[in-house]
Amino acid sequence: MSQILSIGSNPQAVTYNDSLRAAVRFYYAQKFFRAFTFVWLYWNAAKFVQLLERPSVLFSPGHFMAQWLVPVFPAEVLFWLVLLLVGLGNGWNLFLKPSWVWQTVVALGLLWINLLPWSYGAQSHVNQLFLLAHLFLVCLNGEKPSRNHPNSTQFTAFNWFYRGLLFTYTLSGLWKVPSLLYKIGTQSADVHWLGAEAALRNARTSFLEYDLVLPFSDVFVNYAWAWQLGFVAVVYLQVTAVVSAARLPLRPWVGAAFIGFHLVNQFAFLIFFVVACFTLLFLFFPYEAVFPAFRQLRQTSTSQLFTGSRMQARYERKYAQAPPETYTSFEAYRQKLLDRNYYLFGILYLPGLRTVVEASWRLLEQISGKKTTSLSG
Amino acid sequence: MLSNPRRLLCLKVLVLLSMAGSLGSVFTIRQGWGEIYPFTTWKLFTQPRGNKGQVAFYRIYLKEPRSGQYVRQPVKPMRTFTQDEYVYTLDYLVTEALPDSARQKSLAKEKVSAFVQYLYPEAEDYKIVRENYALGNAATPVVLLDTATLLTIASKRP
Repeated sequence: MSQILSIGSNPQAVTYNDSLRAAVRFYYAQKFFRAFTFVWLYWNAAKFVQLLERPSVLFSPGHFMAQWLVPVFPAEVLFWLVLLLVGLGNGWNLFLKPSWVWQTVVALGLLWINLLPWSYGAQSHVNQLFLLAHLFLVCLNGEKPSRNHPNSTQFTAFNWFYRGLLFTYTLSGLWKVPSLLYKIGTQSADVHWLGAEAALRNARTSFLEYDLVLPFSDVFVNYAWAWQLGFVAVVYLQVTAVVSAARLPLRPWVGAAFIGFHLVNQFAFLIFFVVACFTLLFLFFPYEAVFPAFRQLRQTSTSQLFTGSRMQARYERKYAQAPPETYTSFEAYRQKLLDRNYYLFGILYLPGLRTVVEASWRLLEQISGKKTTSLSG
Repeated sequence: MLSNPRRLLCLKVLVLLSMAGSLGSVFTIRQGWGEIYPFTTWKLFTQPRGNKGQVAFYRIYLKEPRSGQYVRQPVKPMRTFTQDEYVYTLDYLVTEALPDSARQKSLAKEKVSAFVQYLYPEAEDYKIVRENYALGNAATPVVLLDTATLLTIASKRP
């Protein structure tokens, strides 16, 4: 956030509060995420038992890393040893003092385990958000709120963690833009994502692939505009995801939006991203709304004053033990609304929104200024 | 530990390497060297599926011992394969085996055979068929255009 200043002996209250909020949020995020990792391990252990039954000749690692690390189906004892090590490491980091050494073992072990079920011809991106989060956790650990002293280094580290994760979505969105422009530019006969029949064809293909009858064609035919708008919204959210990563109030919205995106894909197009949904849920949930640490330790303002409007808007907060904060223009509105409902109005931090609103205000001011001049002239 | 600037630097380097790895994989995949970075490029659904109006899928047809007729097997969860795994494994194995379709024996064809026999142990003879569909539009339904037998596999049983 642009308001975050370096923390000195007398920090801005908003800086302290944001750092505290991020620290409390991340502490519980990693705890729940590591707890979910045990569920993931159980799923993969159960899958491994199934894989043992398959003819060994079917094991065909296609990925570069799979060909290197597991060229042949591993011995049963090796799998259980790796699983045990990963379980121990994950348990250590969940219940005891987290260690980067154990986290390295966990990240590499999970990557290796994940290679096995997907070496039967599947695409290689499966579970990658989950694995990537574990990789970044090697360099990051949120300390218990009661022991923690939030500061800007922590805050920056959390932002980089989420930047790294959400870059995958940014890249996914960026790929769609030139593909779309190429189809439109070349006036291709193929249906592109903004075509009225794109969602219908996409759904028909997926259901046909599974020998299923598409039960809700009408949703794609009668509301084609909704799917077209949905595509624009998804591309916007994906492309800007890496920017959204560092915006604390917006982060839960981004997580919820991508979970919603995956769920729509799951039910409408049979594209399953189950582990990604859980990863987003556990890492993007605003835990400080549930756990009391943030409410207990935060600095609360003693008075707030909002004056003016549009570009002249001004919002001031005063604190008993911290310097006052002053916000102007669109930020004044955002801060005022955040004070009213932090989680609801976090959406006002969508990338580009401030630029668009302030540009339109300036335009309106110019238009009204010209009118006044012409009337007086 | 979190406030350690060196760990923050490590995280930044790791994130930047991750971004570079994802972008680098684009180049290596294009060069035919495969994915150098395990967290891939996330190049998914850049176009809607079926954007050309037609799609093709591979299906397994089993020969009925009594009638001698081939019967189409619908995709469904079978043994250790979920519906999803059934589809992508069949697609992958058949695509790998197609260049060898004229050869009497090949590892790729052996894999297809092992897959089919694993799913349908009672099968005598079977074939892999490519089914071509026209996806239709808002006013017209999906239509099966034609089918083509790609591989025919005889039972290994005496």
